[in-house]
Amino acid sequence: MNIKRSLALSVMVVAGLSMTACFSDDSTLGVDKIGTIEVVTGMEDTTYVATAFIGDVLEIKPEVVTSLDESELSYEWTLLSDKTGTLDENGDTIQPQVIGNSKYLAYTVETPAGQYQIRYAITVKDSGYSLITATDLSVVTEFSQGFYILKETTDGNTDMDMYSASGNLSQNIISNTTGAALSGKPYSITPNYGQFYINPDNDQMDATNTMVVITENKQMGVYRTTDMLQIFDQNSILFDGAAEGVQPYLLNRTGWYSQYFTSEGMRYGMTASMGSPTSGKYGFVSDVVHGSKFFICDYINSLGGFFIWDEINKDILWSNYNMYFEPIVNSEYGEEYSKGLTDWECLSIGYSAMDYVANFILNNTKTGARRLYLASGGMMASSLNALVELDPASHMAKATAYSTNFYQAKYIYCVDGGKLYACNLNSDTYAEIDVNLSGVGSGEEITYVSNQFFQSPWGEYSVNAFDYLVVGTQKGSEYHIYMYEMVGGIPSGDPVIKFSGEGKVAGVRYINQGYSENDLGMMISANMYTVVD
Amino acid sequence: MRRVINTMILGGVLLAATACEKDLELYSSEDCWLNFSYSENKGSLEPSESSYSFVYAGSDVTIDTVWVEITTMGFVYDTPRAISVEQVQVDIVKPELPAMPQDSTGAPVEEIVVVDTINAIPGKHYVPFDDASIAKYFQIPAGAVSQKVPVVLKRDASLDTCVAILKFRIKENEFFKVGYEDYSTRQITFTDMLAKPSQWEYGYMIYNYGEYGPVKHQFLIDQTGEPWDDEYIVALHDGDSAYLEYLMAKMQNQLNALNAERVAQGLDVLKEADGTEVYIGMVY
Repeated sequence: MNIKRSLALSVMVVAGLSMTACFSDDSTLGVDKIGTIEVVTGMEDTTYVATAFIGDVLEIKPEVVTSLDESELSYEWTLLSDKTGTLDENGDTIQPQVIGNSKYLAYTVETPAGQYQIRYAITVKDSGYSLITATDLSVVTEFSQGFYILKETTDGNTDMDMYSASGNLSQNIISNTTGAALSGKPYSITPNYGQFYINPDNDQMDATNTMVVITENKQMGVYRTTDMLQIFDQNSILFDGAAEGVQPYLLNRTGWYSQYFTSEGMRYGMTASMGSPTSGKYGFVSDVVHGSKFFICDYINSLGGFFIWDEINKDILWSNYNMYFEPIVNSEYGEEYSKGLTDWECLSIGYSAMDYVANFILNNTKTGARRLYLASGGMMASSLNALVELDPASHMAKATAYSTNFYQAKYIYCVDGGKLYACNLNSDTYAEIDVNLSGVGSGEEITYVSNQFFQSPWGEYSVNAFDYLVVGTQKGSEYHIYMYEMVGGIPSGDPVIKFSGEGKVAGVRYINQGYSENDLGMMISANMYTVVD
Repeated sequence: MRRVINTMILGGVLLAATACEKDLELYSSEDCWLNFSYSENKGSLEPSESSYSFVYAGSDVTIDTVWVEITTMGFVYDTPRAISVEQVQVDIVKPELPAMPQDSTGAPVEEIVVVDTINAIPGKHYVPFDDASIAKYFQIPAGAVSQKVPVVLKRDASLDTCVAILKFRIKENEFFKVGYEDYSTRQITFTDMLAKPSQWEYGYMIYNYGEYGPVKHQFLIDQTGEPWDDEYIVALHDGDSAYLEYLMAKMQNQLNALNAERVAQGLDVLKEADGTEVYIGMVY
């Protein structure tokens, strides 16, 4: 006999013998009642968005194809969150919430803002056989997603407006929710994704998205973006309260750490990337780096390095992902060009994802001269790429507002004399071009510019992605905001979003509740907004 | 090649044979065993050991009870079954005394307090396990598989200056044999002085506050007003990790401030009785 043949035969005999060994199938499952069920449309590859607590009804009408009669089927829609399956404060397992038992879903959305999964189970009544499909649901509130506008009120204090995803403008949110605007002129506004705090709804330590507003009068308000509840101020965020005279600068997070910079120095804690939620409070100053609102992530690695201006020590610093700080120098320009710059103030910080280069614009408070620093970071070290003494006649040397294009062009936008210009960093002479804007009302003076976007350098979150040039103008006591789509960094056509409100605009920041604080790639992206512009 | 084929066939037949189910024999052993349950003491690195101090109990407390769970192995019975427990004497090694710190004249600078460690004496330091007053607890109730038995500690005056060790074990009787060796003994260390909490060795305390010492313990109590006993340590650990970090830094700062104050007064920095400097901080 052929050897190969006998080998194959032997294997088959053994396999057959194994399969017949002592096994009899006496199951009575209704095999004749399984039929075929298929959900053709309406579920997978779809993300639904609904607004909570305003009577918004979520309707899903999946197309179901089956050989069975509809009377033979039952349906169940369930809602699951990231808490489903965990224990509540009583030690009970949190169960999925049943939100429907019909073929089609019509659910009045009354659940906290957040990310959910909807599961649709079709069950053959006789056999119990089920087909389960799922889709994503993003529940928002009017505050949880959209653009926040930091503004100076007509009496010189700080308040915030909000332009929601549904196109509504809510004005004077701070004074309307807390009774008064924050005292002092606006200093900064920052989205803080995954801020730890003790949720007053259940007294549990939790994470939430917040907007952080700081004034020049040493006031800070940290607001939960689902409902604008103020969860911290400059005192309650510290276990020992704030010492008198301390100026808050920045409450932010990078990859592993959350940082709180003040004129006392830096405090830090962990983020959700590193562990379970805490109270979100901070203890003692852990580093003499004081920081400022001039902060931007170093996107060349996704771990959380950053560039920062130290307002007290007058230093230009880079930090790696583990908060190892160093001055930005090169062989030509030593530490004297980046540390102890007592005669200088920082006007702007920015970053281009095209070449992963950060920029600082400094102003000499005695001479009025301005410098542009271009610097690169990385995993373990930074370097100063160029130090440019700006031509005093240039718009860059006289500008009152700056912003850097992140994705599309190596431009630093600047506002000079009420007009918008772009400085081309690809040009050896740092040539400037006029940026023409369509749709700006007559008599309005451009006072503000910012590149706001929601898209990751690594491609996540492509849904609802945008990349806008945001321009703010002033006319009398009213500000106007215009948001333009861009082609190659230049505004294209009429603004896609425009609105106006009372006061002077001091900052515009976008927040998207669909972002998960544990998503490392998006986390960097979501925190990429420079705080200064 | 034939040999290979034959081997494969033989292997296959054996494999097939193992696929056959065989009825398991019904459990029929009449023997039953007892073990201590360490689950209530799971935070400790040595779950069989725990500690207690009357210091935390209040000045009017003269006796206190530590409840110890015992579980059964074997059949459940519909009648109560007695539990027997007996004390085990521990070999106690006296530590060598450290050198007495002296000033330039040779006079002792600080008194060294030597704490005796002894085996607990039944009737004096604890209520004997066979005492009639607690006999009703020393039985597995009908239909039950576990029972919590009391270890009744007595606040004898000798505990003001010594630490008592009560080590005890399951004792075989007509109903039960001794269970697993690792689960057959328990030890309670108790005193009327500050005692090392059982939880000190658990996780963050030993890691962030270093080795235990009574002077360190008293310092922490003085600074916070908290007892730093097992209950407090567990609550800290299960609570806010940001607060844990803050509290350690705060205790470090306050220890530094106290030491600076002592040095300014001509005193030594804070030390344990054996001369070890009190240290609070990360231990690597």
